[in-house]
Amino acid sequence: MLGAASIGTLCSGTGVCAPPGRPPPDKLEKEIVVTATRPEDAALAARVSASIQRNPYIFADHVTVTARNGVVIVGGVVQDLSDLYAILKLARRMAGTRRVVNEIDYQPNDDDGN
Amino acid sequence: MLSSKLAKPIVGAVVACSVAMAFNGVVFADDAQTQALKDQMRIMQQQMQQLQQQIDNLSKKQAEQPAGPPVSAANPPQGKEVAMSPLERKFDNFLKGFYGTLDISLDATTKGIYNPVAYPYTLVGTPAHPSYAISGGQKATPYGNVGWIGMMSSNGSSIGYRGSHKIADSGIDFIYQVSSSIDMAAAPGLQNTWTKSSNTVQGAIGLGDTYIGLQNHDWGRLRFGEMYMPYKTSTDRLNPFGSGLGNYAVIMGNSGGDNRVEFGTRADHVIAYTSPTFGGMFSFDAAWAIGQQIDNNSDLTPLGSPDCAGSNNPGSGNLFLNCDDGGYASAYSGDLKFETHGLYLVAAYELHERVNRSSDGIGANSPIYNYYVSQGPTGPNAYLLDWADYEAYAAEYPGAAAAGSPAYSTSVDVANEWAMKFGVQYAFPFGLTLNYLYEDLHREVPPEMEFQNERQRTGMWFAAQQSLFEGRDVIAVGWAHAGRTVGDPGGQHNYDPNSTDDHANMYTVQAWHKFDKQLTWYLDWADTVNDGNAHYDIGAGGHGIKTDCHDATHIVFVDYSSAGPTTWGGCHDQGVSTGLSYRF
Repeated sequence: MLGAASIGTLCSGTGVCAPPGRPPPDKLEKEIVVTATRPEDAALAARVSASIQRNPYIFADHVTVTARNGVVIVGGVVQDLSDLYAILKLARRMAGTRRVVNEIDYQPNDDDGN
Repeated sequence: MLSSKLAKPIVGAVVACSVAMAFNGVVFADDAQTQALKDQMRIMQQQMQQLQQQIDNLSKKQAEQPAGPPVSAANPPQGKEVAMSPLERKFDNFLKGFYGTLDISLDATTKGIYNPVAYPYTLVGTPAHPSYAISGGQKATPYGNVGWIGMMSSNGSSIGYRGSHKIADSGIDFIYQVSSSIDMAAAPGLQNTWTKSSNTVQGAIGLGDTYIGLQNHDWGRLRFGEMYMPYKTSTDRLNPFGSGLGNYAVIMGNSGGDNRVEFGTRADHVIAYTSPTFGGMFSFDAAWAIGQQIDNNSDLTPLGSPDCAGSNNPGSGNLFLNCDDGGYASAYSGDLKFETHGLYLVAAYELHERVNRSSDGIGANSPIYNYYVSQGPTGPNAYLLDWADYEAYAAEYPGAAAAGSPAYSTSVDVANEWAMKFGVQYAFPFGLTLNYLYEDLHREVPPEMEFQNERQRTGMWFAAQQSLFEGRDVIAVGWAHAGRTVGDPGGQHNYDPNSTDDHANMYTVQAWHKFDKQLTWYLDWADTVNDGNAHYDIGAGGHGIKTDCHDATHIVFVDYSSAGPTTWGGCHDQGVSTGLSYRF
């Protein structure tokens, strides 16, 4: 995710190159954008999180919501499958066109499998 | 910190201005004025030093305060935060690590062993071109209550604790999870019943996914401990009936067609890796369950484990101290996952190395097995049976051995088993989620042993779940299908070798009503229809108590003389279950 902020090449995709040790112009622009979106990430995460928390039937005490460069990441643990479905649905709705990455550990309360 | 950084240049500028003013004063003022200016400067410098000291102190205090909690669904940022002391904050964070489920259900189930008849069969022809004929009178009918029975079941109730610890400024977190199973409806203990024998304590700390590990956002997660393998976890979300009677593990991953789920069992001594999510869409898992097995035939309990690999204890397969009822060496498991918007695609694979099933023939009703036994230790097929051990046993216990029979030779009945599956899930925005899963199970035995290979077949699962009233109510339906197997060891009391289409179907419906975020009531129905010699159950791999196709026969000889509990093929298990589930 933070790849946008790192400097890997000296030339941009359009062929515009930067002096040695400096990023190409479009890379520099991306870095600036990344820095500028940090408050937006926090607001986005808070908006998704509040939406999940407000739902009276989702138990999400062990769920975390973070956002990095406009990508919403839901993590933590849930034990109810309908909670997982509902969390993903709400996160996608609140994120709008932004991507939602599911990193939740779903641990069903099934028996030991034997 | 920011205020401290700004304060230093400001103070410096003020000092510089003051010095400049003082220097200018030297040129144009007399001595008295110069002295007055010097006094003022000294006072100003003292004040500035005090100011700097105060700023430094404030900065130090700010740095010492612990970082605030991450933005989470549990604690979204508020306008005002309740002030907590460091100790209170620490205790609060500690409590947040606990999670779990308390669940008890009341069930009514039946084994559905309705008026079965059982006859002995004999082989007519050769094992390569077999046909079979009834060779005697009708055998005994089922013993005990095999109809409807009421039960109370504790279904996967558990308490877990998990958390993480930052490793200095490395960007790596040390992670941990400790799980424990809780018996809510009975005292905790071992599972040594007439149908199962296990040394694992049901209801103990450590029963459940328990591990330590390292995690980093860029390279993923590495865990070490006891846990479910990726083959199982990657498709858990395709199974809405996790602890219900109609959990898909009744058939999916269940290569024995009984109440043990071979490709859904928690493994000991696991090293598991989870990748980061590439491009926000792709991820994979890989795991290795270290065999810790010092017998090449996987005959022994793995070092450090209470049970044989794959569960159950030595002896459950009728041979003393042997893991010959499915014990294996190492297991390897992995998955590939793709998820975007409401679409989830998954492929998974798992391999069990050198699975020992040599006890499958003992006391079995397979005419081919009995044909091999009748040929004796000098017959042309003697290499298929373990005559050496049997004769040693017979020399010591001639009475018991007279009623027994030899095991299959480990040279032909210790083989790799593997499973692969492909699944798809799509979640519609209006609350409907559809799931489909296809599975292929294999056991790699030599051709001459395929007649008893019940581990090789296909399977299929379909489930639909609809969420209603903003998630307050949920309803789901499911259907699992087990294809016919390649062979059958003939352990069923009513085994009919002419009935080779041993497929099965399991149907289930379940409804959930949520009173609030944490408390849920559910009602569940499941029906397994076994054809031919199939003997799938209800509840396997999910529900606390399984209802299987074993009758109440409990005279079990643990040696060369019996096939253990009496199983009836073609049974028709059904059940209804209702209960309460509380999450915290």
